[in-house]
Amino acid sequence: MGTKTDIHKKLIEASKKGDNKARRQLYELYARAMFNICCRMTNNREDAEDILQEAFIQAFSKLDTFRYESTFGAWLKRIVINNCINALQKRKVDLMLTDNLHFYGERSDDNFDEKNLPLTTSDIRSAMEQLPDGGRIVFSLYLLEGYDHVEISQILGITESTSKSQYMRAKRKIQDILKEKYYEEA
Amino acid sequence: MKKLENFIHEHRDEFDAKLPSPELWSQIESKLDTPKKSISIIWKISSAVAAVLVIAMISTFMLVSNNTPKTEYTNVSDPEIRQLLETEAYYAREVSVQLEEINRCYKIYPSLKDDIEMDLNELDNMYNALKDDLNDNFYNREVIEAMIQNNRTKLKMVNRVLTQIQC
Repeated sequence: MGTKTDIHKKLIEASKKGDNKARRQLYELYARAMFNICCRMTNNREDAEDILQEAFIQAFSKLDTFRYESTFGAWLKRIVINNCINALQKRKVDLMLTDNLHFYGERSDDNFDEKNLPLTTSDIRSAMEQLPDGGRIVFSLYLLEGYDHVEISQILGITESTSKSQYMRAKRKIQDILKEKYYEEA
Repeated sequence: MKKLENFIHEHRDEFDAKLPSPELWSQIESKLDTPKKSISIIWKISSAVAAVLVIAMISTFMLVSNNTPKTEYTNVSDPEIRQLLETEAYYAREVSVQLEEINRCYKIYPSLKDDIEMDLNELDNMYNALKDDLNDNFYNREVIEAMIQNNRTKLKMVNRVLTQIQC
């Protein structure tokens, strides 16, 4: 980890001075991860590209304020996520999604053995894409970006309990989608 | 329920499968400010000059404050005379600061030395004579005032020279 951050430190310092080669290298190191965050948050490839572009321009222009208090990745991730949230707010996406309680029936677990449910990355990804915005965002931030519910509540401006319930609902919804697919194929 | 979470953790990397368009970087690059080199060189030079000036000022100040230890006139009972003596000490310090300055100018304009040294010497002789008087005749108001006047004249002269030659 030590050497890894040292290599990045050189790139970061050069980028601070306006070295475009170093900036490009930093971009290439982080673009993919950041782009996938944008895709998961917006569920729209075009929006994700616009946001990614805006976030990197912003990050490079305020790179001076990055003082190695966190990793560069964590710092950049927050900029990316904030840009996503701003874009979603412009699209008037309700992050609370308080009105979606009915979107799945409280299904009694019809004797289905969870252990038998086959899981694949692509099935989960497509199930995530079917989630409503709020649920998808909380689910992604918690499970894929590794934020806890306190952090998510601060990032999204929601309560911790909303974050938890959004997560639980999203997870159940994903399992329902996967089950349905399993039954359809069976 | 844990199964789904564990699966995602174990296959975390596979969830970052999408790639942004290859041309995205050039769009970002075109919108980034690239600081011009000439500006940064000017900044470097001017900050170096500023640093040298600060060091010169500090060392002059330290030299002066070492050379002229603050004179204590606590033994003088008359408050008026004490104040005069302190004023005199202040001007004396000011003069030595300015003389340091003008000494540096001599290196750049050697002819300057001959021009003003004579006047300065004359003032210095007067000053020293006054100082002797002061030592001989206790603390005499007229003498101190004359010393202050003498230093003021020196200051005026040196300042005029310094503002004219700008070294």
